[in-house]
Amino acid sequence: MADLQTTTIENTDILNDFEISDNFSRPNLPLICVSKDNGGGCFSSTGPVPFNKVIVDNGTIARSNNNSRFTVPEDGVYFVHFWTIGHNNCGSTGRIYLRVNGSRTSQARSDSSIRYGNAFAYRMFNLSAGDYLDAQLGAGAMYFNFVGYNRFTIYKAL
Amino acid sequence: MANLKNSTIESVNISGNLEVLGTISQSSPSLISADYSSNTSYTATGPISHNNSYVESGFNVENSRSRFTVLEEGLYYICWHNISNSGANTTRTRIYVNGSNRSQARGDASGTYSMVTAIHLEYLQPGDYIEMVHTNGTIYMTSQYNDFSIQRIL
Repeated sequence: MADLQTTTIENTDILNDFEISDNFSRPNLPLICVSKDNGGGCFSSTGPVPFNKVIVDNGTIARSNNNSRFTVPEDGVYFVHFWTIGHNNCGSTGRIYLRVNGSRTSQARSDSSIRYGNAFAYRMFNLSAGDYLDAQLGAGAMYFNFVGYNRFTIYKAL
Repeated sequence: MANLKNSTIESVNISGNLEVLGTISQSSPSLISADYSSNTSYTATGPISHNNSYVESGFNVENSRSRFTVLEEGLYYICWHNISNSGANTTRTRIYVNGSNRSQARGDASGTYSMVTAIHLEYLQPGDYIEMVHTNGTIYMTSQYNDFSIQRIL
């Protein structure tokens, strides 16, 4: 068995097992996690949500349009999660759509009759470099009362 | 420093840290992302047959996409969300592994758009199978309102 200390590998296939006894890092893995802090109360501006708090951002997924649009840098399968809280004081049922290139896919709804009703959607997508994702408030309002009440997370699963 | 280029390696054991700056690809990843659509008042009990598939790789998919049998040993992340419809009974949907309940989502019968979720993590062996099972109540089952995803993460 060959022992290699510091090695550069290019275009090499590993046919069987791959084992690492210490740390494994992928600093360029496409990922981002953001939040919307409305500074209290309900958020009712329909359209792509302009997220204003960065939870994790390694610079791989481009943010644009006032942090409402997230463009993936490379082809692959991406896991997208959105979660938030609704509130009966926010009026009508809130609807958040996960969108790919402007097309609605999965939907998170908050029930207007529930004080702290949770709303969430998770789905994987096959995306190409340049495709973009957003979380669109389609109707109603969500309780983006503070940074801890919602998350929009994207990471490349493969 | 050693360099490997255009090589084939049988197995690799790294005793220190590994940093990958580029992408990692797998020839047979284990990923499923699917949903069920068309019935807004879904009452059928039993494993849910998913009629939309967005990502499907690395599982033996059986029984009209209601059973996903694991092909590779590993740690699997399983998640589900749906909306329960208002009705007489609280909704219950369960993540089953090998026919046994692991994680349960319950929706309030009084809510029109009561969203529910269940998440589960488990080490599985080849031949183990995963199902999303509906046992009670009425689910608001349009494509946008539910997603069932499985990812082998380790």
